[in-house]
Amino acid sequence: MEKEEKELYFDNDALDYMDTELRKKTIFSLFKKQFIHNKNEVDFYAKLYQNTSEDQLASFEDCIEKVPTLTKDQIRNLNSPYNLLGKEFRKNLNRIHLHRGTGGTTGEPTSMFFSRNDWEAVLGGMTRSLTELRSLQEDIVAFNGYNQGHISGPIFDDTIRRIGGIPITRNFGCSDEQALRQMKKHRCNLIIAPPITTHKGGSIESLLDVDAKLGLNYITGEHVHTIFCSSTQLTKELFEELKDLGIRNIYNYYGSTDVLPTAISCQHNPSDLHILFGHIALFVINEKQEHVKNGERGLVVAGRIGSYDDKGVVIPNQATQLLNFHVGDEVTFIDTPCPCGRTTPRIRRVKRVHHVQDKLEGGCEHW
Amino acid sequence: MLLKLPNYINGEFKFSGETKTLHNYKGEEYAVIYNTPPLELRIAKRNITRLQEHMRQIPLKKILKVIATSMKYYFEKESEFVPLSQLTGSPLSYVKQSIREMKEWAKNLDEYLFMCFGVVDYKNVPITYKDEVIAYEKYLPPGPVVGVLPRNSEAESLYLLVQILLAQSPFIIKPPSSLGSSYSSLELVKAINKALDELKDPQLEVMRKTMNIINVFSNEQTEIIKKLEVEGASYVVFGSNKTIERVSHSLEGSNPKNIIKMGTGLSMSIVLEDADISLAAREICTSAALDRGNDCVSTNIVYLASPSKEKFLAEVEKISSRYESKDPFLEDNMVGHIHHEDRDKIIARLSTLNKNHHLKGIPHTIHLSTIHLEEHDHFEEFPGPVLGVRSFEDKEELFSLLLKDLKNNNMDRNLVTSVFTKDKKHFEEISTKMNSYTFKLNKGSQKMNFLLEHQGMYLIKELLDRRILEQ
Repeated sequence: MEKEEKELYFDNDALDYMDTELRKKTIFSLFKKQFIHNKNEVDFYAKLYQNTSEDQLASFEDCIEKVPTLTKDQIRNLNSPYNLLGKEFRKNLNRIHLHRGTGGTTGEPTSMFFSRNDWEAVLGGMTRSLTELRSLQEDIVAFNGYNQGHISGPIFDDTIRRIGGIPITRNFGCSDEQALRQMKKHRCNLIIAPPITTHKGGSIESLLDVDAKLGLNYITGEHVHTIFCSSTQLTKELFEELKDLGIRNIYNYYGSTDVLPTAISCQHNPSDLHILFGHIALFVINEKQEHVKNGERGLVVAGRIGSYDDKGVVIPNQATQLLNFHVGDEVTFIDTPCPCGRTTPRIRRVKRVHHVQDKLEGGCEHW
Repeated sequence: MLLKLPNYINGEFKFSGETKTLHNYKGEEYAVIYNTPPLELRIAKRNITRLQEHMRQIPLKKILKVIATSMKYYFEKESEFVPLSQLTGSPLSYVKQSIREMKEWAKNLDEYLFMCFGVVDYKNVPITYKDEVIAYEKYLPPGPVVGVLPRNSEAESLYLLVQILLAQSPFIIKPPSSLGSSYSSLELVKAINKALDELKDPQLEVMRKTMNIINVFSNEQTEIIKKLEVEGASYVVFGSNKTIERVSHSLEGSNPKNIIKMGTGLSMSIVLEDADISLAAREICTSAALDRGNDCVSTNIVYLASPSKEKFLAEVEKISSRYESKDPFLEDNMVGHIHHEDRDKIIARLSTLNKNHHLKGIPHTIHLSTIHLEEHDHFEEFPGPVLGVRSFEDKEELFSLLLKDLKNNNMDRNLVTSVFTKDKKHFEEISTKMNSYTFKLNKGSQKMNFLLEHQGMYLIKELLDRRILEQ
């Protein structure tokens, strides 16, 4: 990898270690600029925010309390998948670097677009926490088990490239047995896969099953030093199994195709996920759209708030605009100090929540 | 408090995974059995592939010592037999006797090895010709072994596990998770651990991890095998030919080293004209009804020479009260309790054959029942004390009936045929013309001699990998 002359802003882990109040001010600033950008550039937001003025936004807390939230249904009801793009991009679709659809498991898939610089900002979020990998003295050869049709395919590929490694893509249509043999043949020392089986790719768990069945014993600390996973929360049992096998580093990313990544597992406590404030803003809210307090549960809303211009200067997110978007999860919010040293708040006990609308209305879920 | 039946994996008893309640013969909740989560199963599989070499390094005499020592601790208290009777309905007196016999066998496995190989050390078995050693047979450990035990009893557990250890192989065993259970397998593991504690030999410590007892909550055979599958393993499976076919098909992709079939049954008895009728009736009734008549060595069909038929059946009627299914804890009861599932299966099956009116003890249970069969009637192994009765006029008819019953049950050979006659020549003739693995003269088919081959083989020999070394 060529050394950057100047480190990009969202690559810098200072965002994760800075004073809480300073970070709140930083995020507020980014959020407000994004709010203004969205309102001016995207007709959908102009309408959504018609009763919300930028002058009303005076603090970090205002970002969530005063700015309307957005649901997947609202996006699905748009006439065109391009309706969330700013004017500039709608006129110049060739400036879009990447498109991926969401999984569509809860309804019709929605389309998400990224500019090249948006993507760079995302990569900053993906890589800045990987301090243990940066100090490795060996080449990183990463087996990417994610389906390339899902956003996890390209994002993890580029994450690996960004840290100086080479991604090896799982061969199309291969079985888990073939995948394991491919991994061994390429001498992969990092594995990227969902922890448990989803439609996004063969999971860590199924690869472990096959490894045990074949007696290859490849997925051990002798060959593999790191696991990346995401999509679902890594269970305690699976985490302990991987540690017992000698896997040194396990990174569990939290995020969605719409807004990614939004949090990453803490190396001190793997069941906690540190929010990756910077290119994104994430809030945990109650039914009154207030941010919950420490230890309380609430719904996750997240948005893209940072990108770069072509000179690397931080600007609002450019392609698909999402602010305060309901990702469909309920979590516990934690903002007590963390022994790992990061000052970013954490989330834990992620639970998928469908029918977000009903939940917010506090309706009759159980007759 | 319910008896807990965990898994045993990687040297530890594991109480993780979903649970299932097992009921005793009275239908009361009795035990809790733990399913094996996927993660624990993976650990077990890693163990049996990773620890093969360690097991191979252990000298055979040390393994013999461990097993012999463990018998001190295996079912040492009277109370330890009780769960077996509670869960399976086997008569307690029978359970105690059969386990004691097995323990005696396990204490003297050097004799067993001598019977199998002609020497104790199977690594070098001389082949002699005119008093000169011309070559050696070398038997090597096969690698990991996967075994699936039957649900009808737990007696097979010691027989199988000990021989796998003697074959210096790590294993995964799936005991039954209904009717029978993992209880006796776990008792053996505990006993072996105690023996290892006593012997304090660092080289033997690895044995704690090479034994893995896994519960799988499924009765579907292919599903069980797929879960247990390990590349290149040897498999020991109890079941019919059809079961083995299904299992082999499921394992096609994983290159099984060997699939050893256990559980051939359909044992038979023949009463010739000159037989001691009183002896024959007693032995055959016992072999048909002992321990619920549900063992592979239980007599299923008796063939009576026509002149003997009436006298034999009268004698059976005279002694039939001894062969009623009763509470397994009654001292004088040798039959035990027939599980309601088995009872219902027998009634249903015999109804289709229009023979259920022969059953005694219904509707609540089944006592020893003789089922009179015409030539065209099909008969099979029943999980209960049910004895099919055929008669024959001459030996030609006898052999024809015997072969037809084998063919109708998709078998080339049955397990045991007992012949009741005073003339040894008849015994020789029958054993030449009839296809059985074992023939017994004037003895019930249920009497097993563990020093002899069972089902035509010594299991340990089947497990081991044989080479010829010519020097």
